[in-house]
Amino acid sequence: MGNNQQPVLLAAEKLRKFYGEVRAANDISLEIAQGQVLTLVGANGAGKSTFLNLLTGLVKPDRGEIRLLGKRITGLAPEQRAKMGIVKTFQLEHVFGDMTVFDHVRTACLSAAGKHYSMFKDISTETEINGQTEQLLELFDLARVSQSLVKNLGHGFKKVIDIATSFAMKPKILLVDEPTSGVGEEEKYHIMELMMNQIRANNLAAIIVEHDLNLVKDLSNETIVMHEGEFIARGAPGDVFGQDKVVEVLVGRGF
Amino acid sequence: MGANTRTGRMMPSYIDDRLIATIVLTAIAAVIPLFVSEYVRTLIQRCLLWIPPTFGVYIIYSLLRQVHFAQSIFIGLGSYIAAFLAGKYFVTSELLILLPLSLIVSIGVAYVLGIFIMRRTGFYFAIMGIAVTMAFWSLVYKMRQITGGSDGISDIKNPSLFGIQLGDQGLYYVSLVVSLGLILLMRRILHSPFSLQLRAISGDLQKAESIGIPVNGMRRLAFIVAGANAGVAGVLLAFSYNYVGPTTFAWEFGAHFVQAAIIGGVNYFVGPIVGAFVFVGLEFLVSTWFPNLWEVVIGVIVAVIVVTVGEEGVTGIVKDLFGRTLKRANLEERTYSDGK
Amino acid sequence: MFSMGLRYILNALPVVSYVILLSFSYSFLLYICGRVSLTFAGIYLVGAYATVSLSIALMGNSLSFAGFMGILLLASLLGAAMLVASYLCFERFLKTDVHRMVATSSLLLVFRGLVKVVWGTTPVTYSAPFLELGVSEIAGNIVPNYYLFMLGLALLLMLALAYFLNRTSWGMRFRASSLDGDRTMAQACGVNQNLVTLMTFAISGVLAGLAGGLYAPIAGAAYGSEANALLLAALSVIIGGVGSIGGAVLAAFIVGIVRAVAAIKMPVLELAVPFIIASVTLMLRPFGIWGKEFRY
Repeated sequence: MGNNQQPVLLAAEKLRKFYGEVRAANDISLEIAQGQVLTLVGANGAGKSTFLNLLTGLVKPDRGEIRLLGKRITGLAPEQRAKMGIVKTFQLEHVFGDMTVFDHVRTACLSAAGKHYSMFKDISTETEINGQTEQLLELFDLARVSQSLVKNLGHGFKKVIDIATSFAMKPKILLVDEPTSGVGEEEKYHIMELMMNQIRANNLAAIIVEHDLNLVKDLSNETIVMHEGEFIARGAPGDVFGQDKVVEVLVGRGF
Repeated sequence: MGANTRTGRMMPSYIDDRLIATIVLTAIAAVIPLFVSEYVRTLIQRCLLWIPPTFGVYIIYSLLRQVHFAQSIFIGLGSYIAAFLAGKYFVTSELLILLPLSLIVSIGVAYVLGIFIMRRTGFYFAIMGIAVTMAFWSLVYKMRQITGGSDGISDIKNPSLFGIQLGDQGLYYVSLVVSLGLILLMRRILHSPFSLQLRAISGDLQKAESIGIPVNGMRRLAFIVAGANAGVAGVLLAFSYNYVGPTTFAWEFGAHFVQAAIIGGVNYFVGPIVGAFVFVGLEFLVSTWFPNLWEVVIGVIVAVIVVTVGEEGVTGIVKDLFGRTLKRANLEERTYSDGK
Repeated sequence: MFSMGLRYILNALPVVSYVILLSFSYSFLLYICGRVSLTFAGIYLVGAYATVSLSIALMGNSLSFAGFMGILLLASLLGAAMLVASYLCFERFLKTDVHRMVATSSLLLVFRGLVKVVWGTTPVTYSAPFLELGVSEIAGNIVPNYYLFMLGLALLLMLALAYFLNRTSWGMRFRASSLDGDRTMAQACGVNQNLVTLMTFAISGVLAGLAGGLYAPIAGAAYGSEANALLLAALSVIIGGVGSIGGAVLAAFIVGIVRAVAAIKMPVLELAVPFIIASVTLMLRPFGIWGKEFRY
């Protein structure tokens, strides 16, 4: 299953997170190697977002371990994990609305270079950073809107900006939470294509949460079905979606 | 698209018109004491000294979207350092010692306080800021033997610079230079990678965390920058008022800087400068005729500004009024275009 | 040792009582309407001055307890009227928390300034209720009855509010609109949001005005005391947690008693101590001792 020859990049071991009675993550374990792309499907409230948030550190687990390249990172803050290469894009709109697209991506480039506290340097003299930013904007087809304010752009644009900003962090593993939710059919494929091209070109690991099962089949040859905080099936999308228990879990949302 | 693009609300570019305006205004400020009475000169000096603390509020407001009520602490620290060293326990009145000392003390205090009050944002930060000013106020008020209690310390002699005793006019020019220097420094800071990332934090906290921005550390540094400005101005304010009392620490004094920043308009870099002049000018004008009413008048003005134009302030109103004229002169276009 | 502790507690009762009322006035607005407003401290100040002035004007230096209660009622209603008016004319136009904090702090300065214009800066006092209610003895300590009356009234009001919020159908409408509930959903179910907001402001005004009036016979109505009130009440909300009645009472006791002890043992730290408690609380329990996690 998957790229077993590659060393394990990120490992989650028996992660548990309960919200009162609700089991958002019930002893989940997962290993993912470099270049491996997984998709994660499941009904609303199955714990998909919680799982991604556990990996990024936005949610603290009740128990369990997370390791990046063998190093324990369970207690680290989100910003430290982001620095180490675990970067997440958001399901809902999480963008810096008052910035231009250029500044939006540049912020992440600066952060990746560790230039947080550089107060007395004019930002226009950061030629290396500005070059990187422009390159990224080219790659994600954003150069033509680089001077627009993010809040004035459409939903699809904001998604692409979010993804481009995540790539500026030079991630090792990308956690993508429903990249196409709320986006029209046509834009959906465009966004996915832009993203997948970059994931493959950089040989990144990725976990993608997606509702559109047709899209899931195109994205990756390995998918995981989640239900009530547990992984109930794992394998090639074609096989997995045929299983009875999977149909039962997913059918609720009009599969 | 040039590599050094820097468009955006709070990032004006180095434009000739602005440079010219700066030089003209500075020149006016430099020659005006030769023509006006001593009283007016002191008033202008106070306006100049109000600029740095107001800039502190401005930085916290425009970059972090927080209300900084605690500037009076740093003004107070700077003022009492001046009052102790140059007044009560006469040690030295050398500005080259007083100013750096106040800077260091302000940075140190801001660092420690930042740990406590920058932990949370929104009303938590505002209230904790007010609480700290009150704590300092009661401390100074009650340590009567050292601070003189409610009587404060008066009779602070003019300072010296490079060992040369400064006259009142000399103090004015020192204030002008310090204030101008701090304005230029703030301008540099607002164009820095640091402030871009601060804007990210106020834009969307979760996203900022997810791209590795150390939120708490950066907020604290912004707080330190704001405090350092006020600390430096505090030293000169003590000499300017020739009196220091516990009211320097009072929460309403800190709130006045917030009011000044709002009056000026926090959407504009010149906002704090305009705000400082308008606030001190208004305070002077109103209290000349109605001594008890100036706080009411300014309070009402601030409340009306917040409701009607929000962050635009007087600067925005003036810009709107004269915007058309400027546009005809084709200045408007360049304001928001590329530096290159 | 125990009796010393008891004496501190008894001496702190007036502060505790008025902080209970005032902090809940602030936290109630925050909890039900999600609105930050510092105006309450101005209402407190006006309430204190109104009580003292009315009492002196109507009763001179004598005391009719029923009359005093009537005046307290008037002061509370004045507070409610002022806060509702401030909401209708002004605060409802404020869209963000930052705007609210800036504008209401300015409004507080306006209230302060007006008090200065009307009453001047010299404190006015009317201490007849405090002096003439007599004293009781509790475990060897002499306590003015007025202290007990204040605490009793404050606790009674809190109990009434708790009953109102948790047991009545109107209270349910309030809670449905609060940070705990869902405003849009409440509106969809036919809860009149404007009415709830207005009533919240009115209740908050009653509490603030009453706090000022109740404390005035002990401390007098003093220009500048609003800063103390603002500080103690707002810090109590941070300590106790937003929207929690139990938290408000508990935090008021903590703040009041510790402050009273500090005022005697280490006077210079009198106002620093509440701040330190609040800092520690924020570190251990970011949402207050009794608070729930809100978006703030």
